[in-house]
Amino acid sequence: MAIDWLTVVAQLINFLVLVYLLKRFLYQPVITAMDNREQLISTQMTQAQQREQVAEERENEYQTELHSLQKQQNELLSQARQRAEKEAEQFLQQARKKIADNRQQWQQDLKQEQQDFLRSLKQQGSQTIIHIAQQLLKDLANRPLERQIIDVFIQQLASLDDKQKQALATDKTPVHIVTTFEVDDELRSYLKKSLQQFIDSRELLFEQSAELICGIEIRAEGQKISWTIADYIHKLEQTMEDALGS
Amino acid sequence: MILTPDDVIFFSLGSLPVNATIVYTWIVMSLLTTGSWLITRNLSSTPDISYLQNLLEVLVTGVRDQIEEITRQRSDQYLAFIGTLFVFIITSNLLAIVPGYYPPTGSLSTTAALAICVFIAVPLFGISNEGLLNYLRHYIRPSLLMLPFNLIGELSRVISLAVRLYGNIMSGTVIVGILLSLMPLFFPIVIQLLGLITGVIQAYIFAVLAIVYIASASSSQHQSNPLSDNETDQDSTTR
Repeated sequence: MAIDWLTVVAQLINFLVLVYLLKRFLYQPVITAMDNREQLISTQMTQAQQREQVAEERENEYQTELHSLQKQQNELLSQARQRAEKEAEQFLQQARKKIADNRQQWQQDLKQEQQDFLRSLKQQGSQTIIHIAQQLLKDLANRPLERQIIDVFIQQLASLDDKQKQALATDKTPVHIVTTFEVDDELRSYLKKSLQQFIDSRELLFEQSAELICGIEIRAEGQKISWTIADYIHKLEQTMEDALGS
Repeated sequence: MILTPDDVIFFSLGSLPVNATIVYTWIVMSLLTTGSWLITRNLSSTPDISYLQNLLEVLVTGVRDQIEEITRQRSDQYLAFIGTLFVFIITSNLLAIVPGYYPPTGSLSTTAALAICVFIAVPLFGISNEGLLNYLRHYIRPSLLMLPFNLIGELSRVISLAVRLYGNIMSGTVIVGILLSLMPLFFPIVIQLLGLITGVIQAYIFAVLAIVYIASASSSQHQSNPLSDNETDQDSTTR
């Protein structure tokens, strides 16, 4: 329990030296390192905050841009939809119009075809009828019929008015007698005798033609008087056309 | 039985005898200095640090926090003194686990030297903080009559510091020595373990008391309380 003052002094000096040494090698470097780190972290924090702020600003910008893009997209979609609908409507209208046109064309064609068919039928029918009548009349044109035809023709001449009768009688040029049937001598003399009262003593020239179908015609200067079955056939044709047309 | 290492003379420098206390102190000093130098050679300022640097930072931060908590002032001016007291005492005491080592703090000369350092440091810090007159007024507060009591108090503080540390460490060593002669197995180890704990506690007590004495000498600082202002500033910046 004794104090060695020499040791006390030595320990005092030792302690002060140790204080210096530790301050030099321990406290100062460690505190400096900690302060630097604190500074570094603080700087990093500030930078991080700045970056975060920038990032937030960017995010806001991008959000705004995104919203505007979405809006634009919606507008474009809406426009496209409207255009598509409009075009679809147009196409539909065009299609309807085309269908209507086609239908109209078809109806016209059908009508035309019908008309053509009717016309053709009419022509063929009339021709067939005429042909049959011709054939029939040809077959029936025997002498008594020919004489009968001449009689009917003479009756027609008799029913002419006086002026025509006068014109027929006064002229001196030959008279052409056209028939569809062959006129033999008997018929000639019968014709001469029958026509005597109308043409006086004018010369008679006989001709045969199938165009008249079945009948007789006299052709004098400026005059033509005939009786044929063709007239009746024309009337028949007219009646058929009327019936088919309606 | 060796009651104090002062009695063990290792060698003499001329007429000055160099005893075990001084030699072990030098060993402790060289250990601390070399260790600190080796670790602080390559300190990292980045968050990625070595274990040893981390250990030193924990130590320094712990001492700073303790000082700031007790003094309510910034720790910069006290750190070297108080920190060295703590580090030196705790290292001296913990090395007692090494066979053949005798802790310098088990010598009354060492503890007296440390107490004298505190005794000198208290007025030095007080004067540097408050000025000479303000510091001297402490001794006549609350009245002039208290001057002798205050002086006695100062002296008794020094003596109590020195004797407390010396007594604790020396007694630990002595008890282990006695037990070794009486019961050589197992029990001395337990006591030595207790001695280590005592050594750590004593280092803490010595350092804390030193801060308390210094803080009480600088009590007028409490009113302005610069630390709390700084702390508030720091807190606001940290947030």
